[in-house]
Amino acid sequence: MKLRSKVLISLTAVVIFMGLFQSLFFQSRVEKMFENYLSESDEMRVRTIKQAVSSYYVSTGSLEGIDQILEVSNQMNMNMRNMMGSMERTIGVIILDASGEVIADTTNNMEKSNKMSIKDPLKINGKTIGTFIAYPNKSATVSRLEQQFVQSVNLSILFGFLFGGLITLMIGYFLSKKITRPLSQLVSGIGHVSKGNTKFRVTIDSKDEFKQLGDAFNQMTDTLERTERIRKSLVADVAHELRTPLSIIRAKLESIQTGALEATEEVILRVSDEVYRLSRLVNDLQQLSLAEARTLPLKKEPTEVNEFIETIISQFQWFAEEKNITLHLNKISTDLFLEIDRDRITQVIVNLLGNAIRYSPENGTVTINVKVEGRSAIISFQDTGTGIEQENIPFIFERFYRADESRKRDKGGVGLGLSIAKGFVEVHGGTIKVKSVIGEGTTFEISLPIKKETMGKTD
Amino acid sequence: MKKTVMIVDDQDELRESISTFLHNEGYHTVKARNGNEALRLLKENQNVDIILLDVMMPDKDGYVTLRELRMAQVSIPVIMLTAKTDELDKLLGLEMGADDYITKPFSLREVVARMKAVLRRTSSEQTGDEWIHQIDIKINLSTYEVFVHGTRANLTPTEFKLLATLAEKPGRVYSRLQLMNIAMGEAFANYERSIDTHVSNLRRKLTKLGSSATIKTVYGIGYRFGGEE
Repeated sequence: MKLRSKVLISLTAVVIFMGLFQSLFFQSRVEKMFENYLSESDEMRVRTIKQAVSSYYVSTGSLEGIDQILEVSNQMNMNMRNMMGSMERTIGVIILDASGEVIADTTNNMEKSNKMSIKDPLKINGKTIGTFIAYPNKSATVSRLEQQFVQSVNLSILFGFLFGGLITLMIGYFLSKKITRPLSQLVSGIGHVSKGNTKFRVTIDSKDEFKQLGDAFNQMTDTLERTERIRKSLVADVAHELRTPLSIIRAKLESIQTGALEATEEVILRVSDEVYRLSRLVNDLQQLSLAEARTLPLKKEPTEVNEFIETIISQFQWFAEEKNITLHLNKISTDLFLEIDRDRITQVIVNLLGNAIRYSPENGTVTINVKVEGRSAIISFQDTGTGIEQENIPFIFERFYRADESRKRDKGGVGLGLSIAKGFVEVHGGTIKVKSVIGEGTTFEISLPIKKETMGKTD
Repeated sequence: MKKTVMIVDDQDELRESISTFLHNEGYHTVKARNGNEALRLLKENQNVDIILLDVMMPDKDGYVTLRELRMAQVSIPVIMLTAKTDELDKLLGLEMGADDYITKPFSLREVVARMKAVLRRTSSEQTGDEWIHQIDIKINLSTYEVFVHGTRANLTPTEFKLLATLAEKPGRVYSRLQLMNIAMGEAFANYERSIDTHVSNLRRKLTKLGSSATIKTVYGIGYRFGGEE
């Protein structure tokens, strides 16, 4: 069943039940109220009659002729009722004398129901002089009045129900339309996405949860579109990066096979180096995707930062000397131990420091600063290179991104260095930042969390 | 004494390549196509020193084979060959009694190096220190010490690994990239030229101690230890 029909049916059902219960409730209430009112007035009148009977007895000394009195009072009552349109009913009274004989009876031929009868002994000064029985007669007038009232109430309830039901249906129709429209939009949107059209977006005007749902849907498709784009370009980039070493290997091997190239150790070593680069690329990509999914296994060991960085820097001395670049290390004054996977963080530092030296001009300076800020160790690499264009900064951590297309693999690797640095730092729970000023240089800053218990630990 | 290596892998090409390479390095090899065959061969032939065990195999995979092996109280060291790098796989392999693991694609040189390390570790009680002796240089692989004419040379870890690698196979040419990987690890792979600095430092230290051994530059490629011109 459609949501819309469900909404309409449930709204209608509510209206029907409300009308039904209201009418039932009303009927029983009205009946009860009428009954209460009547029995109260009955009691009063019975008391009056009884008093009249008693005073008659007191004044005459017997009940003889009491039926006359009753007749008169009944008549008076009748007149009053006719005059005032009161809802009181007639009361038939039977009076028995002490011996149980009927001495007066005004019930005539009215229906006597024992259920409603009031039976009282007549006592004067503690002496029973007879029995008084009153039969209230549910008069036709009263019943008709009650019925009329209930009927008119029921009628107005029915009208109310019809009118209300109509309005409810109309409101329900528009409401359900309003509810289901964003839903059907979303359904068609999901259909588009599942068919591979990640460009589809929904527009939902309402300001309720459906708006949120629509926004979430759009966000999801945004992400999908982006990852799809990344995936496509990743595949293309990987294919491209694999193509070069594969071509070299293939060409060398074919040359050897046809005899054009002698299979000397040097030639084979070159092929082997290319194969290594291929394996390396595959490995890097895998580790990168593991790091991005936060599932890269880490072999964390407490490591003293100053010494750790000094060792890596010493491996770059030759590179710096070649370009006459000064490597300047500002250590922190105390030993600082970090829980890190040495191999991964070595890779991060090698990538950042290598870049810093590579992109610094001859006679430049690369400054490495180590400091503690709060609960983090900050290691920054500041070069005096040409800087990175502001518009390129958001992309530099993306795989295979090269700000300058001319920086090919012979100069700058395959463009995974910064992605790997970011991935490895983040998998350690750290962050990486970059600041760059054109003409002044670039600073990469990594921040790694310090565990309290490793501060000052020496093992 | 020649060691015997059992190679368990379902890929014929790879199994044969490893076997050929190991033969050339001076090992006996026993080959098995799958876990069942490996277990059967082990029952027949008790002379296996180390097992190279592929994880992904049809019928009986490497983990199952390893478990059955260990349950049968066979304590031959095992190196797992795996294409998966997830930690779970590694831990699973090691907890079940594997001694090491190598991820594909691997270099055969790496396989040999790992095998040696595992063998050294597992048989350290029986055998003494392992030495490489070339010309006037003595290298103790167990204590990481180098002696020239009996004098202890003061080498950095990188220099030690370089020298040990080169001196083990005199005349064999190693590319900078290979030496880089062996001596400094993968991280520095893009900066293979830093190996030049280490080699020149190493040369200087050896010459200073009066060694006549030479580390020759092979133009455009890398280095070799001595050997004919």
